[in-house]
Amino acid sequence: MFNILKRPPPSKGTRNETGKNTPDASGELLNQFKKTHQNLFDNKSFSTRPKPTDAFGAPMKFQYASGDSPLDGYTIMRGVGIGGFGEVYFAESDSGKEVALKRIQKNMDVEMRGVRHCLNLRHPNLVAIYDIRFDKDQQGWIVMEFIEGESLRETLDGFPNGMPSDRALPLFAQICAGVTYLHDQGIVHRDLKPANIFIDSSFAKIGDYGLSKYISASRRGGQTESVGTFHYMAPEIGKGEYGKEIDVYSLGIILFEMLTGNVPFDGESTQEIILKHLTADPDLRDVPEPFANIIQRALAKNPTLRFRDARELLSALGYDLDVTGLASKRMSTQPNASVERASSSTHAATPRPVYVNASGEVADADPEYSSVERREDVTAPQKTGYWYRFEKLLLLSWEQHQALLAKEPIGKAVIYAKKDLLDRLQALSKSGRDIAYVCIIIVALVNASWLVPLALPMLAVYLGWYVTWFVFGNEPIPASISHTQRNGQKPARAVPKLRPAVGLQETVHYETKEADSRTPSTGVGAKSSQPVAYVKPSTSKESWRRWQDTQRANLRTRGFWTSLHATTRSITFSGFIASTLAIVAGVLAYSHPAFRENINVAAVAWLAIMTTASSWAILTLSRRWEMRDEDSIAFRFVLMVAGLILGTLSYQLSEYLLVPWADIMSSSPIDVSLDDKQLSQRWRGFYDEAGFPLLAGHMAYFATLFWAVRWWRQSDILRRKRFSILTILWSVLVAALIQGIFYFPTPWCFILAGTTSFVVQLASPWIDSTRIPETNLS
Amino acid sequence: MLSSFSRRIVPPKPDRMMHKPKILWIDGVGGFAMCDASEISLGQSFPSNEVDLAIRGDLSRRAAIFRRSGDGHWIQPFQSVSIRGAQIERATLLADGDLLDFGNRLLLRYKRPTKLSGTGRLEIASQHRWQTSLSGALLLGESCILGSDPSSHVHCPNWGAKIVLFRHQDDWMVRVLSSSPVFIGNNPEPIGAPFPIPLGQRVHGDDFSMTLATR
Repeated sequence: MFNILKRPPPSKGTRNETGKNTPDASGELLNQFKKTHQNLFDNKSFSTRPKPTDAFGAPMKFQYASGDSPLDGYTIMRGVGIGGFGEVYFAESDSGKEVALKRIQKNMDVEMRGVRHCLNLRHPNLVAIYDIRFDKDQQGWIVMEFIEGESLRETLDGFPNGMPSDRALPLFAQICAGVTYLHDQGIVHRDLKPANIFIDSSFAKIGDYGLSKYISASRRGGQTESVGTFHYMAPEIGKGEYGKEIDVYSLGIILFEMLTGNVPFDGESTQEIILKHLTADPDLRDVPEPFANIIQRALAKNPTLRFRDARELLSALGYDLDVTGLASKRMSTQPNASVERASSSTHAATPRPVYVNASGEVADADPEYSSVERREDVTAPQKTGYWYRFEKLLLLSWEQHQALLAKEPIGKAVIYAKKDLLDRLQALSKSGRDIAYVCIIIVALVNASWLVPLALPMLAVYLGWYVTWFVFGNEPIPASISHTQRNGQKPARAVPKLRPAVGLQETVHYETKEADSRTPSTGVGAKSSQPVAYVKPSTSKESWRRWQDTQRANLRTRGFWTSLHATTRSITFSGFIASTLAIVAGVLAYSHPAFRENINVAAVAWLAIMTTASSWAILTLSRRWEMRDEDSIAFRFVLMVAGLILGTLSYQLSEYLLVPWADIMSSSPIDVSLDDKQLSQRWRGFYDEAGFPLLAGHMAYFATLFWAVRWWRQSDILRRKRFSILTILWSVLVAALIQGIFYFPTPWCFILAGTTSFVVQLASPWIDSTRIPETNLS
Repeated sequence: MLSSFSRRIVPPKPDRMMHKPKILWIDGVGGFAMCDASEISLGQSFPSNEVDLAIRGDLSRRAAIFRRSGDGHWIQPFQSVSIRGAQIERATLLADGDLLDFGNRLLLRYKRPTKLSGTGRLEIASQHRWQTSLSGALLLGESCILGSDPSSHVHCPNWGAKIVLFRHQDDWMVRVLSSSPVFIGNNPEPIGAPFPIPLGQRVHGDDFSMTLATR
């Protein structure tokens, strides 16, 4: 039933890297969400991506045709759309009144009760509900105002890069005015999204209020929910909290989408989207101030940190409600004051939200609702303390760690040295660089036997130092910590106090003349969007991904023979390289004094064959996978199975070649400090008495190695670099780590991982992103 | 060509009543007046006014006539109408994207998505409505294309199918280019070859449905 949810989060393609680090911690919230909304997951055909141009979900099958009159007094003209709660028709009454008829399928009492509650609401920014009627079959119909125009969804589809703010803002203000009216009536919409908002003669009108609040209580399987719902759902909905703040959150997402053309939290699966809602920070770099600030606050994970209701949000945007309840641009020269005024007056005047529960009773569903406490939350001082800092450190993203490392003295030195080395390498010619790389890798491989055992303890010591340095030091916690709120904690930085309309007047320019004269000369700065401070903007990374996506799509169109050719060519090539490399490595190993006496042809042959076999397995699989979107879990699994087979091969090969592991080990310059006896006892059946791997040991080592390294990335035709030394080092490092779990004779296990990585990279075809002019890498 | 049209009001010909526009209701897309007569009159909507296209707006009883010719549609104004900022007095050939301004109030936009067909589409660009809310009026030439292609006369975003309506003698035929079967009304037999467009019966396939209705 929860197929979608069972899939662990794909670790790839996280445009926002922060999302993937915390699956465990968010798991609980996710489960809660799942429980509350299991009905939403029932439908297998549920699409998580908003389809362009499709507000209602295709294909549209309408029960009634033009000319039918299922409801006395109304003749259907045409079907308009199919929403979450039933078909919507354009109809005319006998006297000529044009209406929209929404047929409530299965006639659910709860839904009807919800609509009845909203039947007499009246606001220009709400789709008016005229009546509720029942046909001969006791089917419920809602008679509504017919909206000639399109939905905001369709409008937004016409602006893939976002609407100009002078067009978006008046529209958005109208939406806020409508929501404010609902909030003032004590109603939470719960399902605000562009598909529910209509634009009729430049009026924004909100629809489906009164229905949506029952989504959690009454969703039925099989009935397609309007697509894209999850993109606008606040994180706390998972906990069953339905305060006004969830509407504020949805409004924040809508504003973001109006200004940028994209929703802030998107993903391949429902779960990915929900995870991002729970953990990720919106990327506000493309959003001009002051909207970035406003959206950031509206999208705070902690509902208490958001605007309390739509009115407060509206106020922050520099709008007020006039006596008729319509949004009007504020003319005040002191916007800050008015925000305060508006919020304080709201506080006094706004009634607590009222919920009508499934049995129709009015219930106070939110006993903890207290605006006073919320105020304190915002201004609460930042927590400190060692444990707190330690927790924060664990939650940092890689980018943030990098930022920290650049400040830590030892890390700084290493980074500097690395940069220096890279600069020197860059100064070399291309072939010179390649030779240098090859030399480095060979030297590294040959010395791996002592380098790795030395490096690992050093790394561990450094890690300890790094943690101590941060926890007990005074280094400020890097900004933009995305995971802080997941446990309901306060974010590291308090949401900055809003300075709304000051910047606004510089940004939007449709004020009256009077306003213009006040506007500073920077008023034209409207279009120069000011990026918000953000830790390490990774534009190149994103454009790289975009490039990868386009190219990947191209790959899919490649013919069978072309891809087969690519596969065979790289396989043949890899065979050559592997043999050469193994021989070179073997000879070099021989030159090392410690190995000299024990150069073993059998081991070199074993290395050559295993490298070849491993790289073939990786190459074949990768050629198949490069056309697909990355599915890390599945790929790893298949690789692991391949590893098991290779392990078997390795064992048979060592038996057949009579590789004298014992001699090799005894002569190893570094005596690996594993107690043989302990090994054979701990891993019964994996190692023999002397501690040398048996069949199971081989299989375990290879399976783990193949599972742990994302080999397909090294072979990906769209990898960033043709050949990366770091990738090889990484493979070797992982091999060394695995060696700590499933012991395997050193240094051959490192050499094998290194050579395989080397061969795979060298033999895999590669598309140079810099040489394809038509792609946009800017 | 230009001189052949009179500036004076042309009395409606009797046979035009036979060609009173019908409305094509396309589910999920909109409603379109199908104007296939050689002359289409446009005017204000009120009960006794027998114009082909009626608009709820402040314009003359008979504001203009649209005439079909081999190279598109001409507008013959009977009230103040300007196109591209210039007041027009005599019959003018409509070009794609023309904005017709009726007395500084009503704005109509003329779209001709493809040069290959004489068919054009009229849409209201001001805050007015057609009598019976429509998405637009189709001034039909010899053929009319409905589909997801933006160059279609009627843009139906979610369709996989493409429908071509074409004039055949005095009738309009439907050719559906679709991989799935097409049905008429409740008839369970799918229909293959081009068929005359049925009046008042739903034509439907896998991802589309539409009905041609009299007003």
